[in-house]
Amino acid sequence: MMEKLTSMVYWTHFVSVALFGLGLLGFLIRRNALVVLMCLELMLNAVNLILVEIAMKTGTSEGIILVVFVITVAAAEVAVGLGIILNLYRIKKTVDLTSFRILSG
Amino acid sequence: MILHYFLIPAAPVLSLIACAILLICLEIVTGEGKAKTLKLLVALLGPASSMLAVSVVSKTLSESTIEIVQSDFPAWLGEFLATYQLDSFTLVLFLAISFFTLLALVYSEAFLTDFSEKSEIFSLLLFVAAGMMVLVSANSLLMVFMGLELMSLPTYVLVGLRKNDIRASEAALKYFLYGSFATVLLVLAIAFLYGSFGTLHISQITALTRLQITSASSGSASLSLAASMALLAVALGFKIGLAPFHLWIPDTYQGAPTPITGFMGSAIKLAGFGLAFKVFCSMFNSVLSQHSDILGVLALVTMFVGNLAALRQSNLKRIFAYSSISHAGYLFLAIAAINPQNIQRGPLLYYLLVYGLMFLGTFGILSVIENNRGNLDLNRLNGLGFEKPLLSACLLLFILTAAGIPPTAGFLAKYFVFLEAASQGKMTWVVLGVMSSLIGVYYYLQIIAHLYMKAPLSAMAPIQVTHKAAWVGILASAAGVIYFAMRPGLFAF
Repeated sequence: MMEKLTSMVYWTHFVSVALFGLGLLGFLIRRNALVVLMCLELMLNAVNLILVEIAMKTGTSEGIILVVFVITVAAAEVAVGLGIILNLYRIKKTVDLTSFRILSG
Repeated sequence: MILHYFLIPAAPVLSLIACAILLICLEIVTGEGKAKTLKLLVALLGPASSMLAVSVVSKTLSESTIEIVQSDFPAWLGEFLATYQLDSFTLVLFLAISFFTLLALVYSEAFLTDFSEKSEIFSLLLFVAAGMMVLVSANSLLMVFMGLELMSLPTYVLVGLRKNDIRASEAALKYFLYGSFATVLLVLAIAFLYGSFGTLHISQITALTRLQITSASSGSASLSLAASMALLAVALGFKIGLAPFHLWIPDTYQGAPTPITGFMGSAIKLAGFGLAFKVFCSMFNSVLSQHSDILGVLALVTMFVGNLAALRQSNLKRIFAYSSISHAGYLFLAIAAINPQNIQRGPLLYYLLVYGLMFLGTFGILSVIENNRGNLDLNRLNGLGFEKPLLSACLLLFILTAAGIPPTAGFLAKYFVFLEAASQGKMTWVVLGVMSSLIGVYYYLQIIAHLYMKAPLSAMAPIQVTHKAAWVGILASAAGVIYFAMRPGLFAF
């Protein structure tokens, strides 16, 4: 049982790092606002996975409680972010980040 | 007992949230754009009752040191009490947050005249204020996260209030993307800390770091500590606008409605620095001296970037946005130069309050100019000095304060920070900091030159302060700045 658990921890570790890396890469190189938003969520979920993994390893419950809060807040964040992106789409008919360059200098 | 231990310490936050929810209910019951006076009164009641609650809390704090007797306590109450911490520093920050929110409410009422749904703005502002209070009083990383998000999410909406203005929406998008990325980094830092210490309580982490340092820790533990500290520095850097992470600030400050920019620049910076102080001076107290050089370089780069970039701006909002970046540098210097054995909160607190009042006052005046003259190019100020003597005198006072010219509070604030750095033997920081202020004086003087020495442009509308409430805000900030200049020894703790 214990052996199974440790190997599982190893795999969640790998998956969460990979997820975070994917999210970070997408956040930095993608130019579509919706995809960038999805990459933000991907990173948050990767961190959630790390938190659950640590909570499993240390046997404390605080990490899992934090995960619940992070998921809730992430939902609120998506609501706000989608509202902003939708509004920009309504004005400019595009969600390409490179087209929003009025403010600069 | 629940009243004494739960309701009273939480009252400053609860009163804000209660008023915010009441405003939303009022909006539903009375309908959009009706009962405006009632809604304004309820909104103002929020920070006012919060200030009252702070005075009650400070009285109970001084009367009885809260001794927690675990036996006659319900377990949830003990858990709850452990998640936040009130001391005199936090209470001063509470008062400042309430006051800045009050001014922001007054400005929104006076200047955002193109909105019919004011109570939305009011309730969002109150939620932001509640988030800031949670943030500065948090003693648990969970509460830090919740406070930061409660502060940030309504601010994204406030920045993009003008839905049909492409600039406001663009500003909101930039702020949202940078802010959310900072949140992700913060949660990652929290995960690192949780992984190395197995707890989310800040005071426990403080104790454990001290233990780890004294017991000649292993390499991997100190590496994980350094990684979490770096992540926290970057996340905070995004929120308070430190140099490599400041890119969103000019754009967002320019695109947001002017009264909201004033609120962001003063109150959100204040809360961010409250958190930065908690993180670097309390939580990482024992490792601060090892890393203070990196923090100091961050602060110096920030102040130079802010002051140099402000030189070639012609829009007043952008000038003050870059000015706020350079001020963030000085504020961060106050944290980097702190003596871990003998923590002086005075210099940071004094600078934060003076800077916040100056920024809010300036943006009140800028709102007046914007509402009368359409935009905020530098030449909109031409000849204002003789057209509106009192308004210009206030602006002059705020600009001299921002530049740090001797008799003003701004000079004293910078002086205290440099004194702190000098007492730590960091003379290079002091010299570079003074050089950076000298660069800054150039663009501040340029604004004054436009104010008093340029002939007014032809066909420019006369300035009228249509809403008298605006005067209250501007004069209150000016009075505050003068008061601080006369009381340099206000925060000796």
